[in-house]
Amino acid sequence: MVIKETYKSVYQWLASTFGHHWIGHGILVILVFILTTYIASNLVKTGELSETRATHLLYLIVAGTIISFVIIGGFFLIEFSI
Amino acid sequence: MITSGVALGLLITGKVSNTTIRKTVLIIAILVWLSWFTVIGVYTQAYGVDKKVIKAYPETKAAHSIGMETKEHTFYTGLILATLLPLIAYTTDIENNKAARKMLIGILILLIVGGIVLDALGAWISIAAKIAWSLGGG
Repeated sequence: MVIKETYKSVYQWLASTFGHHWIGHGILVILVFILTTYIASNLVKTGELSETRATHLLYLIVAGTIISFVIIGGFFLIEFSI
Repeated sequence: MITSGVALGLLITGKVSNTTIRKTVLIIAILVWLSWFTVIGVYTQAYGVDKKVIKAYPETKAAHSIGMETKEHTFYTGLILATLLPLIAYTTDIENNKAARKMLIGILILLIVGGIVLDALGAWISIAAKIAWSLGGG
C-alpha cells in the first residue's frame, strides 16, 4: 500500500492493468496470501495444531492486523497533514 | 458481523460441532468475499461523484483522504482474516482441539472489531458527503 501510494508509476500500472488501482491491489494481496499460505503449509507439517503454536500464530495474526491498520491509517494521516 | 457474533458465541460456549462451526465460518468467508465483489462497482464507479464533492471542501476533505483511503485498504485485512476462518475450521478438529478454537475466537474478535471500525469510517464518509452536497456540491 505504501509503495503503491508513494510511487505513482506503481499506482498507474495497477490502475491500467486491472481497471482500478484498488482492484489490482486486492488481487495482489490475495496472490501473496495464497503463496505464503502454500509455502507455510509445506514448511510446517507436524499434524494437529498445538496450544503453543496456536498461541504464537494468534499473536502473529493480532500483531499483523494491528500493525497493518496503524501503517495504513498513519500513512494517510501523515500524507493529509503535510 | 452478526454471523461472526453467532460463531463467536458458539465457540465460547464450547457446545459446538465441527459441522456447525465449519458451515458458520464458511458463510462468514463467503459473505465477506461477496461484500468485496458487490462494492467494486460502488467504489470504483458510483463513489467518484461523492469523492469529487467531498474533496472540494476543506471541511470534508479528510473524510476521503484519511477515512475512505484507510477504509478501502484496511478492508483487505478483513478479507484475508475471513478467508483464514474456513482454512482453520476445515483442517482442524474444532470439537476437541482447544488451540484451534482459540485461534478462531481471536480471528472472529478481530473481524468484529474491524467491522465496527470500518462501519465508523463509513459513517464519517457518508456524513461528509451530505455536508459537502449541502455546501453546494463542489
